[in-house]
Amino acid sequence: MTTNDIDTWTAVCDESAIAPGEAFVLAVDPPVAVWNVEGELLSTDDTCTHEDFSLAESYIDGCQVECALHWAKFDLRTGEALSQPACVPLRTYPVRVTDGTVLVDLSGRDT
Amino acid sequence: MSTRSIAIVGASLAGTRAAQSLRTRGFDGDVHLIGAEPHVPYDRPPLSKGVLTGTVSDPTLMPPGFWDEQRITLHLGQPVVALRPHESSVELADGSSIGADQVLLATGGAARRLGVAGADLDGVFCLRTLDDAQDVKEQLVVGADVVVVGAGFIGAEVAASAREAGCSVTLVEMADVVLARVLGEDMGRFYGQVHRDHGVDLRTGVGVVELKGDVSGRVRQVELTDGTTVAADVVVVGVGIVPSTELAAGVGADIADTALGGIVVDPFCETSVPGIFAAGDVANHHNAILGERVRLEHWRNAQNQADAVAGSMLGEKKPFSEVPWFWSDQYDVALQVAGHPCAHDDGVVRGEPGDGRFSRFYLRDGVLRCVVGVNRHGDVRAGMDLIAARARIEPAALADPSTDLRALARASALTV
Repeated sequence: MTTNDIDTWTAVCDESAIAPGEAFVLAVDPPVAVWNVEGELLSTDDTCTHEDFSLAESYIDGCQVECALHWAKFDLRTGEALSQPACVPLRTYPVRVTDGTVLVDLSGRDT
Repeated sequence: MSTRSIAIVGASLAGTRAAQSLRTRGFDGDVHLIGAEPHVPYDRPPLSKGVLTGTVSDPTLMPPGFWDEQRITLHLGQPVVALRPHESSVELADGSSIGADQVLLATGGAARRLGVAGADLDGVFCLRTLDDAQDVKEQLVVGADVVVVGAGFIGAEVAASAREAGCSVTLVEMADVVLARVLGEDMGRFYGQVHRDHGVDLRTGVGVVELKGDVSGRVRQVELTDGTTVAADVVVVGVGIVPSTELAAGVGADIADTALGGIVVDPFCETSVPGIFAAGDVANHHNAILGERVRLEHWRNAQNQADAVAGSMLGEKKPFSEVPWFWSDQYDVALQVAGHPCAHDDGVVRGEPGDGRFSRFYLRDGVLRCVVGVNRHGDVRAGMDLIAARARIEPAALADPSTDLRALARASALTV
């Protein structure tokens, strides 16, 4: 790990805490979700861009999530809004696993 | 004849989504979106919730640049007074005409008025438009005596919002149990208790005889059929809508003469007059999944039927049929309903009503027809797929919270 890594990566949870098809929510403001899509870990904002609702509480289907409130769909890899009523994409974040711990890089948040 | 210009009458959710979908589907001609209200298209669900409580200040549907970018011409504050199919045009209230090779009627409905003396007093409101909601919001001051007439979803949501605003609320309902007609008796009783627990004075099994005003013409009392009188600074009437079918009737299109009412459309959302379509709250259509005609006053139906009708207008012959779905937020109770509850269907409960997190499944002849979920979005979402698949499920499996409904839904989808 470089010094820079220590500054920008945030520990989320144990790798074993996120089963395939599930998500873990990091309680930052606004919250961030880490998704396990068939073994691949992806990270996006947890809050739907249409209205205030947790996507981790919603319907995960492959690498898409469908908001349980109003059916907005997002691509978890790119954050792209795939269906009405959402038109704003989700922010996505780099994820990595170090020694069994899932880390996300939230340094892009403020830019 | 190729279509060069489409007029959409009604600039609410269905009209907006249809216009958007015409462009997404590649239609390059003129799209006119014509609204009777002066506002740019806005979303109605927040009107009885966030707009009243102040958490939603702007329910506008689309970002400001959208209309120009998509070359959709907005005609706002301009009621359409007549359709002229033989002249390929529609006529506006100011006497001008707009060319239209095809017309979509997304006219929705108007709030039903209370047919009693005093219904036109100051301080009596209905809640259908943004103007209505802003007027009502101004009245919801701490300590105001608010009487809500009609405990359907709009009335129940207004009552909840008024309580959150610190008003003293009386909710008056003709039926013995609130929401029983749409949710079933036990769900209705649950909702009645939720309102009572939040301090609403709920009066069921009573109607309104008269609204009484003071010398200035402002409402002050509501007289009920049980002989009691309730003090009122504000009355909000939520007794349903009347579908706006006049334009369709004016060109001889079939209008349903059943209790549902509405403009009769075929599976492609076309009326009995070729080239004139209807979608959203006003459209009376056959739902192939439920096997019955429906007219749905649901947000999702407005959005998705509008998308489907845009396809039909461009010649894609794809019948529209979806599992109906809607939601209602009251206090911290988030309701979602998929399908159509029917009191005669067999009910199965999943979860614990005492925890405020449970759902109720309705089966007919073993086939799932409806799911009503209280703070259980996942059950309703999976239930939708099971209803669409006309799945047969053992009641015991539905009642068992450890049953993975999504897995059942995936398996059912494969066998359709």
